[in-house]
Amino acid sequence: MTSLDHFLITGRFSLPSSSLLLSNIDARTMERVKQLAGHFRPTGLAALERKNPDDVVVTMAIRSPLCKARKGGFRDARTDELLLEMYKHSIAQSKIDPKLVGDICVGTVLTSDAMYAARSAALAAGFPETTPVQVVNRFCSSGLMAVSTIANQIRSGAIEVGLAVGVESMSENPDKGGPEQSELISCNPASRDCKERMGWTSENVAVEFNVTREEQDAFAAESFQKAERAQNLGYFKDEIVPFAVFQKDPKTGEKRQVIVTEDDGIRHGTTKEGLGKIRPAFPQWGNSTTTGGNASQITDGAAAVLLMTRRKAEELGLTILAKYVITTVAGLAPRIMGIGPIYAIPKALSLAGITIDDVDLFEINEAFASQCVYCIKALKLPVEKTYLSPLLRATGARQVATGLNELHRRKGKVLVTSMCIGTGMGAAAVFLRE
Amino acid sequence: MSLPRAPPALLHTPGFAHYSLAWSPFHTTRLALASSANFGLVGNGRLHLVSVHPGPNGMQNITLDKYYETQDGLYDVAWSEIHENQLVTASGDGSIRMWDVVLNDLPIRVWQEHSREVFSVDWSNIKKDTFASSSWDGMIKLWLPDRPRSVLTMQAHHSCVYQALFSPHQPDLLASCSTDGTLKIFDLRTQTYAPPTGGINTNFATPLTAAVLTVPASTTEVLSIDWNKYKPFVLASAGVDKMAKVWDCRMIKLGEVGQVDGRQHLHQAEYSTSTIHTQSSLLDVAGHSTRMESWQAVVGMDV
Repeated sequence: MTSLDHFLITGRFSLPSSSLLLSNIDARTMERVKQLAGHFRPTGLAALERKNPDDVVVTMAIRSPLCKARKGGFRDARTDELLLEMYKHSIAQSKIDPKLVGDICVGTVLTSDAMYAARSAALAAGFPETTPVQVVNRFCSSGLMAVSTIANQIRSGAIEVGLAVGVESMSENPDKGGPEQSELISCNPASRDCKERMGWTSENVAVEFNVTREEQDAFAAESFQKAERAQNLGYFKDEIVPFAVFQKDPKTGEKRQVIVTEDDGIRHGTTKEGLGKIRPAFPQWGNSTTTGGNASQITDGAAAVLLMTRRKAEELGLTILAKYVITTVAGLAPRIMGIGPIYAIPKALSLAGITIDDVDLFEINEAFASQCVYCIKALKLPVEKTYLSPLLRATGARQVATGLNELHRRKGKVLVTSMCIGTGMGAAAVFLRE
Repeated sequence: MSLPRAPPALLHTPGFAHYSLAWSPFHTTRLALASSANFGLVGNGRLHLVSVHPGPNGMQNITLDKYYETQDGLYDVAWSEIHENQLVTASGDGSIRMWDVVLNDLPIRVWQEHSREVFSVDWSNIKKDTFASSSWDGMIKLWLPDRPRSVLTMQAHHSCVYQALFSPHQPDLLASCSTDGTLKIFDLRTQTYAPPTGGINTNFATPLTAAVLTVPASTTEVLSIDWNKYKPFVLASAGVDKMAKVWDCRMIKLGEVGQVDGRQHLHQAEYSTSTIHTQSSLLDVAGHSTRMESWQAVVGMDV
């Protein structure tokens, strides 16, 4: 009775359970291991790779061409016009109804009355009155702070979809350095350093950390060559949207609309030797190693990043470019603000629970060759994994667009994008390509 | 009152890790262990029968009386509430086996209806002729020991059901928890199918049994539940999120129920909570410790 029952199967299958098991053992075991493995909270990269409906994801990252201030394609464009173009392209490329955008955050530094421009341009571009706008400013990282602000709003449940924008016209709003300080503040040396020019901080880094003019020129030349190659190979095509802006005829002063499609700050055929001949830009400070050739240009440009929950992206049927993981900001002495990434990158990696080895692409702003050379040295970043963004301003959101595009091209997984911030900070963010 | 405690009685079953254990409701000295080789991932199972007797100096003696071999891992065990010598086991091959402790080697009954791992069996202590099983195939089944087939099948979830437990107060209520992050309560008197939820009707082939209550208990898997034996409608859940949560099912308001942050109390165990047991005011939570073969009761907390 008992032995008969042992082989008696009362279910749908007419085979004894033992042979059923044997025929399926591999598939069953794999299924079981997979199910049970899910009980263990993964750590490191595996934890980041888990997909959750609550994840904040990027579904669009685009930028304008980046143009030399006062001489380039956007020399006669106003900030609100750049914003208008950026918004219009965002609506066109987002593949979503603009009324779904729960909030817009614009990062900009020098724009006076930025809030007026940000809101009015959004309405003119076709965002409905129901979509609010705010402005953030943390100098070079402002665009990234806009991304981080929107991502945190999504994470907290305040909004489901948000647009982060970065914009700067240094043609319209030149950087005049810090304003006068109260004597109650300027008596503190570090406070006094805050209002100093960025060039001064570059020379400080070069002196304190022994970065020579040769190193800087070699680095800058390589950087230009890389950018030239990337431009020639059309690497930027996927991230740049053409901007229709006004330009004034230099002779007649007549205003006409032109379409700008390419970065115009990349100097083709740059060599280390050529850069070596350029006069120091700041003869009054340090070893005077910083020149117009090994420092970033001043730039006009804009970028936009659309973020939402994974749930919403899937509901809308959008392609997910990347998962937003974390943004962090670190502080350091204002006099050497350029090396902020040295503090921000390890902090971001530790918050994300990963190590330098997990990262496929590091993107650091290249405000000055001095800070960049030292950041790479100090963090021991592998050169083949480091990608530099040789531009000042329009940095934060734009680096996200460029970084994700480059990560995609390299078929990498993890992007860490980082920049130094005037007055002594560094920001870093981690993204995971889908 | 800090008298030195006697060391715990120990029993080691080399090669077989324990997934579950149960005291006999008839004999205070009898304990059954559901065990699996290779931590239940692959390989054989064993049902160990153990006696616990008082020894000298307040010590407990624990002895292995016998064991039964099975061809797949055993994940749960439940004693019969009507027959002192009988008990059922839940197995990885989808089978449920009934054993009689006076017989050797082979089960007295085998039921093979579940198509995936059976992860829990629970004997009703009110309707003492009935027991329930839950499986990774998403089903809960009800069984009578003398029937060759299950008497009721419910498609409780669309993913793994880790546990199904009868209410200790009401014979027709059954709670379940699942990979889908929900805790559900089913009333056996009102058997209907749930209406399809928006969009494409995936319900057609495998219609979901309607639950009287569905609690979105976690964003990750809920691995274990228990009814409070003294307060009807109070349930505790625990799972991969490392949180032990207590639910009063008469008034589920998300965010307002007593939530115990398991992360603080589980020694920051890197692994998920896996068994849970409630008394009137004590909640015992056990988790996978760094060695999966040892199970660690970590905390007693007021709820």
